[in-house]
Amino acid sequence: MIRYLVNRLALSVVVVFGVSILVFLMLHLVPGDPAVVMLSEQANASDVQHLRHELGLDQPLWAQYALYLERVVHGDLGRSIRLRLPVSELIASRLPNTLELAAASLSLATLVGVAVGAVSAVRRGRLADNLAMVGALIGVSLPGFWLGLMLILLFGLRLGALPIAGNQDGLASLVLPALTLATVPMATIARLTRSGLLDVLGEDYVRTARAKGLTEFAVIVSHALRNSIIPVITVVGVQFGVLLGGAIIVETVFAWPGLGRLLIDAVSARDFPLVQGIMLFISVSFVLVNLCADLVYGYVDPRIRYG
Amino acid sequence: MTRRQVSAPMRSLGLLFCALLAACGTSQTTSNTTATTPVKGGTITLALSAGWDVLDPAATAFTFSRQIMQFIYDPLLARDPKTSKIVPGLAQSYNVSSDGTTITLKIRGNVKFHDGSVCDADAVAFSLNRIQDPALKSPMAATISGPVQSIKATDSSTVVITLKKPFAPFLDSLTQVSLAPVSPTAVQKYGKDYGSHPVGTGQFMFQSQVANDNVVLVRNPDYKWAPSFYQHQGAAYLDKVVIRNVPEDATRMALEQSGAIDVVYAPIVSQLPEYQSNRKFYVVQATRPGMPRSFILNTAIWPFDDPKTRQAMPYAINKEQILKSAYGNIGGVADSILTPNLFGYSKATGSTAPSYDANKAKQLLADAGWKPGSDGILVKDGKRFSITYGSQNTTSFNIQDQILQANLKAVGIDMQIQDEEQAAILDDIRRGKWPMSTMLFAATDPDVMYTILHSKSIGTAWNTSKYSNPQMDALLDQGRTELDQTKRGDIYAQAQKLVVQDVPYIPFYNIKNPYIVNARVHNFGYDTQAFWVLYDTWVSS
Repeated sequence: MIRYLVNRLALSVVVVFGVSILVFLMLHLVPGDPAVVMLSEQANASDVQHLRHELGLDQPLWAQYALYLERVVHGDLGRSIRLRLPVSELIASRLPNTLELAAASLSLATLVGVAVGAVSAVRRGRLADNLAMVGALIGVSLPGFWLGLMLILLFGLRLGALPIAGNQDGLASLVLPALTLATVPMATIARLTRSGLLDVLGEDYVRTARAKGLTEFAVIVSHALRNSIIPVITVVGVQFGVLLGGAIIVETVFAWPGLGRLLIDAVSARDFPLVQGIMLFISVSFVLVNLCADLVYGYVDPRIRYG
Repeated sequence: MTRRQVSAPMRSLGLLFCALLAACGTSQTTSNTTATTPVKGGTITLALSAGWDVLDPAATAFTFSRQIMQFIYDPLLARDPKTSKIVPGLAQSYNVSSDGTTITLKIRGNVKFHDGSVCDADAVAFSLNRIQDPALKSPMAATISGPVQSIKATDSSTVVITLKKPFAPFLDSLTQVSLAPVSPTAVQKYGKDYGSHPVGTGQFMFQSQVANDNVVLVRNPDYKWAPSFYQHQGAAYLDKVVIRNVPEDATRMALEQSGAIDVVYAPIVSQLPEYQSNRKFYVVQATRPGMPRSFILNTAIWPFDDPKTRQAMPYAINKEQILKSAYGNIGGVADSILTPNLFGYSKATGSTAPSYDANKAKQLLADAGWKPGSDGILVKDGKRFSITYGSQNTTSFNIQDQILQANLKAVGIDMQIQDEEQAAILDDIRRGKWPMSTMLFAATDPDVMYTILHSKSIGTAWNTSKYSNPQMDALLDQGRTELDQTKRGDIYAQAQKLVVQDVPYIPFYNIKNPYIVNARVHNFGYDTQAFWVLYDTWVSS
């Protein structure tokens, strides 16, 4: 187990290193100069040149990357060119909002998805199953921005029941963006749960459990579901990793101050240190969340061994 | 994924959303516009369409940062929004020496920064000199270092600015928030982070912000140094001002309609008539001064290196159609390189500007040596008149560009549109990547023509047409040093005439910024730069 962990962590370092090089190169290869963006229309060429020098943008790419790497190793992600604040401080200020949204949407997706999938499997071929699967198909197909706008129209404007955008109204602000964000994973989880359960419901150990006199609920939850949940854990893990990087579209539609919006604004302004910092954070989170998901497999299914 | 990729499908869905939003309807209620006695208290919430960077006047040139800073800081001089004349601001008087090289500012007494420290001549001199500090990387550094020799406080209320030579636009610079005094105590206290803890002398004090998402300001209770053109003196009426960044158009409109925000920036233009006829709201249109939105003709490269070809172009473009279709008739058709609300604008030149006449365009192109090819596209010296045009992917630009494309096609010019996002296009326009593109330049002094037309501004500033004409250079040099306003006006009139004649740019749209305001908001104002002004503003309960 320890060896497995060490191996995975070592591999993770390689992945993160690779991501950082890719992001660095991509940022420098696309057109757009942060000095021009920052100085806006007021600047002349010597101002731009001066600022490029101040920011180290006039150095060769490898030298810029080496400097960046050296800083990162020392725990310094640099300062945002545009917002002039430490990158780590900016990430820290947006992270709670992103975590809140990710946790809420994923909890909702998992709870509802597993429940609907389970009911659907148990009621296979009946009305509930058909309704659930049509619903899941629609859920997977709905574009987030469209659904978001429709929810704003219905619950925000028409009914006036929920805040339209921002996070100023506490938990109520969370409902619409979390619901929008939860729809696709919820539908995916429902479909996975259903197919996983259908695979195991005919197994001998399920029949044995029923023969022991267990209630159907106990049979499904304690025996069948536990053995069919691995793909769901994978989806939840991957999705959580994705959401930690912020949900750009949903955050934009709902003016939610999370990492996704910070990232897209940074890309638009060619704010190199901020983009690199956020991407580094996202890749580290993604790798770690996936590692955690892999470790949970062993807990859920003791047959899985690491080595 | 870039913002462009995200916003393209979102925009079209936004339009659908707005149609549904209109169908959703709101009840017609009587607005409180009959109330005339201002009420103290209340909060106003404003929604911008993008973010800002820092709230340090010396460290930023971003429009939205300057908009927010207008509430926090007071410029040394001000422009009367009704007359556009320069009047005292934080400086209670100013004097320009007869040779035009010394400006003496008398700073008002008893002015305090929001942190309680005194705003005297030392603080003003500190703030102006700070702009030149290389560590600050100020985009305004050249504004000071170019014309200024020294800035000194000679006593507690007098600041003397010595110029290297007479520089007429400098007084205008002093009306800008970018040169407003900042608290030296706060600058020292917060150092590099000052931009997140702004301390000025303005009508509202900074309370808190989530970087690039929202800013909360509260009334400055000690404020008693407002310029005389305001309707009242003393503290502002509003308790609190909240400014939010809501990037999605449809969401911003929904927030406005629900009453969650009071004022919306950059509303969806097609929705304006509904708001204009709804008594719960009113629409304000603020004119943006400077260089109108114009098409750039790159005079350094084929085919617009030929003056005769350039001269045909304005006749080919239907500016009225662009105004109507792309901008919902908000604003006006431009006829000069300066907007009509800017000092120096020449009405006489404007009246001679070419208007849409496709036949005349064809004739002038024929005179320039262009002949129709087999596919209808003009040909000269074996080369088809096929050009690439650089633009941005926004709703208004898309319509504007398509009209332009059709207009040019009608006279035998093939135009391919190449869209880029903001960061890239600024760079590429400046470098002269395309034969044709579009730009505007906000300004409050006709010296903006130096930035966009002087040969010294090629590659160094925003002479993006690469236009070089010694006659124009001489006029613009003269305009900078001439202190007599009548003579200065004449100089810029001649310069505008040259633009009509040589066509480095085709000005086509005088921009007005529309703002939708909730009817509970009274006395909502804007200044000569179309920035919001909330000093006399109050809200009904």
